[in-house]
Amino acid sequence: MQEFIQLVINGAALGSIYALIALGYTMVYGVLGLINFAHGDVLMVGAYAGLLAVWSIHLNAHPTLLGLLWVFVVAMVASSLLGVLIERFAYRPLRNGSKLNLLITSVGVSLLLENLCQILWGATPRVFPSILNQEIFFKVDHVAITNYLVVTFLVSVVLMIILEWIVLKTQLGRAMRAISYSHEMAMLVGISADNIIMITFMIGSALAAAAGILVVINYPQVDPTMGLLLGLKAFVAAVLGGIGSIRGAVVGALTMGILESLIAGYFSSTYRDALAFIVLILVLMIKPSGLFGHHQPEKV
Amino acid sequence: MSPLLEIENLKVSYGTIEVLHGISCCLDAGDIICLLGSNGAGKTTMLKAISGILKIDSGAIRFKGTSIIDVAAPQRVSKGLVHCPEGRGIFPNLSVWENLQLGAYSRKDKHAIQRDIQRGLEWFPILEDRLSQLAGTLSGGEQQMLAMARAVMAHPQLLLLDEPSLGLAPQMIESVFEKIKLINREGVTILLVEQNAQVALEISKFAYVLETGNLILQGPSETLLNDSSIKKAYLGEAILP
Repeated sequence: MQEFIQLVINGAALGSIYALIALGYTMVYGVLGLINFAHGDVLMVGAYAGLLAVWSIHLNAHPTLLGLLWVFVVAMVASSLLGVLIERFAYRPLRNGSKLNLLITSVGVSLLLENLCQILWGATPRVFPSILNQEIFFKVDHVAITNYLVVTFLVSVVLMIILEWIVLKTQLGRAMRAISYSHEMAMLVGISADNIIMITFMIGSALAAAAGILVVINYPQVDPTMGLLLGLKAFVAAVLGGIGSIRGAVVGALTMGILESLIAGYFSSTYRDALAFIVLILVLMIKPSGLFGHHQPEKV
Repeated sequence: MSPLLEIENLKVSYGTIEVLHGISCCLDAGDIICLLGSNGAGKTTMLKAISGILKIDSGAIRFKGTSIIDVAAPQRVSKGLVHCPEGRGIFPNLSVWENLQLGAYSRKDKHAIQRDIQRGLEWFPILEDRLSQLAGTLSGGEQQMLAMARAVMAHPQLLLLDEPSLGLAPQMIESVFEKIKLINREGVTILLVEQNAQVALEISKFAYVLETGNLILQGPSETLLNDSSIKKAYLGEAILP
């Protein structure tokens, strides 16, 4: 039983990382109707930016909380800039064309980023220095909660609350939801789709970067293809929750994280990566709109 | 006084098919002006060209004396030109209150928005109890009321109303036209596109008739009400005794 609880807690931490990534997929899908396959690579660039941030203040020598914050900020700023650039130069020119063009372009951007990073930093994985000394934060019997888990939960929950507040309570969030309904109707109340889409990419990319740093705190290495599998799993989580739904992305991601942790714990960690694909196939077969997907009948 | 909106030789196409073949007209501030015409005449196209969601081929559109051809649609809203589209254009996935908030999206005076929402609710009391409800769950008439209340939130000088009575019950239609007159009394010029020519001519001061992309007739609404060709084409004289 204790092993089960431990696995669920670890899985929920992993799931909350997936959730941060999945939110980016689902938000961009909301405003643009695009599955942004370069999203995982934005996360990867964020992780590399975090590595530069660590080096810039020699954080690995003496980890501090302020230093940790610095790494998050640098990674998130770098990724949001990258997200804005990708949107501006790769997606915006194609926005009025077929959705398929956008999708293919996003795959192209993904390959471009991976290969650019290989040229810049080489293909071999780099060790991400420990920026937080691992300690047991809390322990009941054999269930241990490390400070890694605490940071993971804290960062993702805080970011998700901020996002929830933006989307539900601010004029910006209302504009995002208006655009996800119809670009044309949004224009008629004075909303400029360009600006809102740009901000959506900024927010989504910043969340991905935060997720990237949480990943390297828990699994301390970076490599140019690290975004691929993470992105894919988060994408499946978003589909499981119902793409376009923010609540769905979080629920889907937590489910995925916990299942993955249980499979790795009780079965074999060889199969943990296969889970995403099994889930994807099952969702597409049983309920393609996902758990929270709204298939709204049109009112005539 | 110079007119609020001037259109000169406006041409608009969908792809290679020209829909408006050179429209010219003038709207004076303070009036209700109606635009009549059968299905496919180009009425909605004309409104979309004025609000900027359709690109025009050639011609001039001047609002308050300055050309707005190069002004993007969202910026036209902040200039005081608001388009309430056919099918109402409300956001069904947002609550009534959120729809009203978004109506004021283009405004700078954020502090006055709550006061204006209160005013909107006084004008459209039907919305009062529905503020937290999703707009998509409203009835057709309530949605139309919301669309107009939201449009007024932007402080328009010119309001383009496309088929506000479409698909509504008779009592609701009457109520919608009451609201149109109310908005106009508050100083908003209204360009009204309507299938219901009788009522449209009754509440408007001036009317244009559009047929297959050309303005074929214009004049004071009173005159048009008694025009025999209009009666035949739009008022169904043959059916009424």
